[in-house]
Amino acid sequence: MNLQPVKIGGTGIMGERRKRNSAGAVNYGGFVVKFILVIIAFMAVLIGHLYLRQQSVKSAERTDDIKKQIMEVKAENRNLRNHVAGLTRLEHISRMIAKFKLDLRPAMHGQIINIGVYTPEQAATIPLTPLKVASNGSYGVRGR
Amino acid sequence: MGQQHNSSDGAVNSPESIRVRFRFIAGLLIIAGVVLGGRFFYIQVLQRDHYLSAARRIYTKKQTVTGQRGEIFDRNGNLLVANSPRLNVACSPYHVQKDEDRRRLAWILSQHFPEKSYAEYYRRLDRYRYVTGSDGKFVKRRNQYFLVKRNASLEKVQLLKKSLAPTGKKDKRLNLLRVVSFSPGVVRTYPKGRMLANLLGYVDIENDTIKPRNGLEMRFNQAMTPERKRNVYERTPAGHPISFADNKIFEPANGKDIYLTILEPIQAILEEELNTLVKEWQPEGAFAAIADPRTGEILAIAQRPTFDPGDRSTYKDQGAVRMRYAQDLYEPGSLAKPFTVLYALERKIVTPEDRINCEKGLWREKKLTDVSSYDMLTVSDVIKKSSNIGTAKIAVMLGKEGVYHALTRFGFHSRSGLPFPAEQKGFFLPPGRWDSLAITRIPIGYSFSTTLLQLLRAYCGLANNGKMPYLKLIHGIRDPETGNMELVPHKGFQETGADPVQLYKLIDMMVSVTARDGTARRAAIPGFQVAGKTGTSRKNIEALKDPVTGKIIRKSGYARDQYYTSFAGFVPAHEPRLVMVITVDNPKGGKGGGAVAAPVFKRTMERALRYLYVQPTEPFPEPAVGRP
Repeated sequence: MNLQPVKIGGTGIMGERRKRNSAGAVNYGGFVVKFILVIIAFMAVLIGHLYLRQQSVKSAERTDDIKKQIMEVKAENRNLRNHVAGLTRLEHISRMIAKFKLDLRPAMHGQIINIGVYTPEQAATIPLTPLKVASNGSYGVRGR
Repeated sequence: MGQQHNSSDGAVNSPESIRVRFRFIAGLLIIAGVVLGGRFFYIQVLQRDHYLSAARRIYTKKQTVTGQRGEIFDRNGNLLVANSPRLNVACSPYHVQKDEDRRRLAWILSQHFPEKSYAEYYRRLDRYRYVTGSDGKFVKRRNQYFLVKRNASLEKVQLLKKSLAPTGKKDKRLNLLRVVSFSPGVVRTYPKGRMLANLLGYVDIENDTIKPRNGLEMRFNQAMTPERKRNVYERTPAGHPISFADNKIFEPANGKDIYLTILEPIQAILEEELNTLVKEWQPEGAFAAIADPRTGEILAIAQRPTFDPGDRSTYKDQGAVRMRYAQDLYEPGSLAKPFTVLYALERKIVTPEDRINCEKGLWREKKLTDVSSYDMLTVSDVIKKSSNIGTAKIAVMLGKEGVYHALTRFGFHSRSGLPFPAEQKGFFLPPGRWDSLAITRIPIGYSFSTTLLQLLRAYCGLANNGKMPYLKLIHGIRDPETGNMELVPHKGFQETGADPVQLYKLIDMMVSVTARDGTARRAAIPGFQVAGKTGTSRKNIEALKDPVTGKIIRKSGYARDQYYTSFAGFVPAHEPRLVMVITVDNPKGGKGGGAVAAPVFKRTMERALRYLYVQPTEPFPEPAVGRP
């Protein structure tokens, strides 16, 4: 059997068109599609780039805001620390003792045996018994 | 119709026509492409540098950043010098369009920062400012920046923000928080007020740069100065750095923190007691220091008058600003006596029981007097009663070289070891240049000058069995980045060669000074043996001239009515934990160290020993009674 290759494009509508094109017409559709695809790809890359850049800017701003908040907290912390340092100075404490008439004075040597915090009712129950002073054998009176 | 249409389109849509049109359009596109490409080439290649630099100017931010200046702490980490965060308050008047809002903002600002009046704020909040142009005419400019307050405290800013914020959702007025901005600032603060002011010093700010002016601020400026870096980064329209850009952002290192050997509670006690002394005696000055004799570490050091580093108006008084304990030279008076007597004991020239003829208070040959007239005193009593004649006679037995050695081996006429460039060495002539009376004057603390720090060190030597430590003030320098503390090594001890046995005897003599019949009975502390010595010396003053006539009103020399009164001592006497020296410059109404300085010693030491939990070594003279 003698089989010959058949030129399918040479017949039918497509064949006619191809013939017409090959006769001098240009295939504009293919060019435009390719061109549009290139443009779309380019635009996609561009938009992607811009989107990522925008996201990055947003995250940079957020990071910066958080950093700023951390700085503010640190500053507040430092400020409070400085205030504490000012309030714990003896000069200030002495002034407050005088202002509120607390009538506090430092204990004498050997006078402190133990320190406790009592309510007035509890304090009233503690007897004022003489207690031996720890280091020297002399006697003191436990005060209320 | 269709045929007509087809026939009329036939020529237009013919392949030839389409090809022509396509070529035409393609030609146009090619020309446009070439033009655009050329323009691109021109911009991107030929003019690249120009446009790149122009763009970078817009989106690149350059910023000089510095870390925090190092802070100063006491031995236990109590803050002495701090950096306090502040906020600079500024606003953009251009964005306040309505007059009503302008008035409201001016009113709020005048309430929170009353340094300027409401009218002044209103004037400064004008949307435009008028500046003189290059041609001499007024030019109208947008007023976009007005610095309301530099370095406002965080608390004030917090209150201001509350006032500026809208009152609620219904408040349709301009949100003033949008036109007021806050930028961080920092100021140097001294949370303990006047405490240690002379030692710490202060800083000035010139062109946003800190300039240390005095004290440790100046001495350790290099260590405390933070790193300064220049950040360059691409910024977003809001000014934030873009993370993926080629930025150069540094975190500048903070300055190093200085840790002193000072103990704040003891320092506070000393300062408080000096205040009491000033109230009681109204002296021209008073300075005192407390040290640990075993290490030479200074635990407290103070002076009056002093200044407030937070109040610039107090800086003017140079007498208050300078470190008098390191810079003021004075004759120590009787504080020098124990050193001469000690050397005489060591050389076996005298024993504590030897009796000295004290000439009934007047030694005519040497033109020397005692405050009280004594006939015969033992060497112990010479110290106890602080006899000038007795000490001078012992010194004569020792000889010039002996007296000179007795004093200089305890550090007189040499620096104390503290990092004060301005510390004075004192005036002390070598024996070859002494006149005939010097042998009787130098051992009683005249004819040579010293500083309080030298005396402190010398008494540390006495208290520490003759091993005299170099004084130490800096405990360590801490790097805040790593948290590592670099301890400052101790400079060690200077061997005085003093005999511990004789030193023990001398200390017993000094304990008798604070006994009931001693010159410093007011320095006695119940429960402790106190070894000490009083000192009173006349002030050597300059001649005073009448500014108008130029005549001399008062001759130079020793004043009859002006004194330095001092007390130096240590406690517990034979196992000393603390040494203190106090000098009072010309107290009013009192001249004796026993009356003026000794009570301050007693009160300060009593409280300091309690703070340090030093157990009493002696029985209390009477029972301690609690307050009912």
